[in-house]
Amino acid sequence: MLQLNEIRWQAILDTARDAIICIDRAGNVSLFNRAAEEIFGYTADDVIGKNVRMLMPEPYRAEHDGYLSSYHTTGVSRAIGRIRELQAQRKGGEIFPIELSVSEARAGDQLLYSAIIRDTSERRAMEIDLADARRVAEQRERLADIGAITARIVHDLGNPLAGLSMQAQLIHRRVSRDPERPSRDLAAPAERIVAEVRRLDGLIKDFLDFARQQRLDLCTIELPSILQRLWDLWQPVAAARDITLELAIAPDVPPLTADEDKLRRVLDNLVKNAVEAIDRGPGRVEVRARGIAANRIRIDVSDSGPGIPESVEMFRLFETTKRDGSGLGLSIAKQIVLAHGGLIGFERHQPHGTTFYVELPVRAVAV
Amino acid sequence: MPSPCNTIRIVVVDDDMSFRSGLAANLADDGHAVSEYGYPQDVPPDVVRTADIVLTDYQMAAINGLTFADSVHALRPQAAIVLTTAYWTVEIETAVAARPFLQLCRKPVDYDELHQLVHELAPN
Repeated sequence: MLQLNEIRWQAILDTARDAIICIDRAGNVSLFNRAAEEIFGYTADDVIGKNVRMLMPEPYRAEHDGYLSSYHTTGVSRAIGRIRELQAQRKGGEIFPIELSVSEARAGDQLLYSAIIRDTSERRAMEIDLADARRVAEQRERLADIGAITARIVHDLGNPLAGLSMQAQLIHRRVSRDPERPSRDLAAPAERIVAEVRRLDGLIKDFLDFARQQRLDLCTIELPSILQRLWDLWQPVAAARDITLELAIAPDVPPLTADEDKLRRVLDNLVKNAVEAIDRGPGRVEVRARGIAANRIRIDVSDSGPGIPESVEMFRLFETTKRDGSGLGLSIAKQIVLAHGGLIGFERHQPHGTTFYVELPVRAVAV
Repeated sequence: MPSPCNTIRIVVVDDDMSFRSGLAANLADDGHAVSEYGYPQDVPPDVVRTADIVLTDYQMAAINGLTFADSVHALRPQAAIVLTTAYWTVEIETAVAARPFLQLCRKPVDYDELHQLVHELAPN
């Protein structure tokens, strides 16, 4: 029976994929299995009877005797009963990462420590490769974004500058040609210069808003009053275009923890887009807010406009269906909503019309 | 200022209103017959058929300036076409080089240089 048990134990030791090493009270090796031989490059004969320090790189090698001595004196161990990530040293001197678990046993009056050691070199190498690949992918994405943003800035700022320049040259040529020229001939180009400067200023602000990280200034806000103010702002604009603007707020909408200015900007952008999608009525824009499961609320902004073509990716940077759109509004809105831990999307309706929706947690967490 | 019989018929197409109106006003001040449009699809074919020079932006919604230039050339081969752009790429330069009827002009445009180009391109 005893012999059978020994055979079983030997089979386990021989077939284990992890190194199994036993040491005595003084740190001398008494067992070194086959996997330990493969991992460390020593034979059992090379190691048995020698101090286990030979399998460790510095500083563990210099400190190990102290650990044992301290444990024997205080009974406090940093290693026993837990899995630790450390380093070990192969016969050839190569230092490699390991996971080490140590347990304590008594064989008669003899104290034994047994260690199971897993070589994590391959896993660590894969983790490093994966992290490198992720970093390269992120870098490529960032470079692509920078390329797209640069092209867009060149185009979006270049055109107003060209307009400014042409209007200024018009004034200059008119004044040079006829210093007595009536000022009314100069008023229109001068007004256009002012309008272009305003447009450039708006573009620069949009770019800055997009570039700035969406840090939240959280406070408790009453969504119904924000939506009511939004309705007050847009109702005259909608009415002038023969568009009916409707607001419906369910009684279960709780107070939100959110950044009021940024949330207002998101909702303003959605209502503006809805009104501009219809352009001229008759048409209808509906703003609805309600509580949904798991402490979240949902706001829908629906319009009866022509809808969004399937080919358009509305949240992609610079994507726009408007002739004069910058394509930044929804990208900024998405950043803000994501920063709140929410989500934003849209649904197409048949035969036409669109609903943009925002789902937000009742309590956003500042990032 | 050219005499009426030397009037050059110029079509300006650009979705940037400020640039378009400024350019059209400068050209009109110089005595040319100018018609201006925001988008290529707004330009009536009859206007193209009588044009001496077409000045068009490159980057416009729906139809870009190159596509528009090709359709103008098909309709009115004797018209000179000037492509203006604020965004200058190798692709645009290559596409222009492949079209001998097309000139490239970078925005912001120096009107005096453009004025000279207009006279060089105008029919005798």
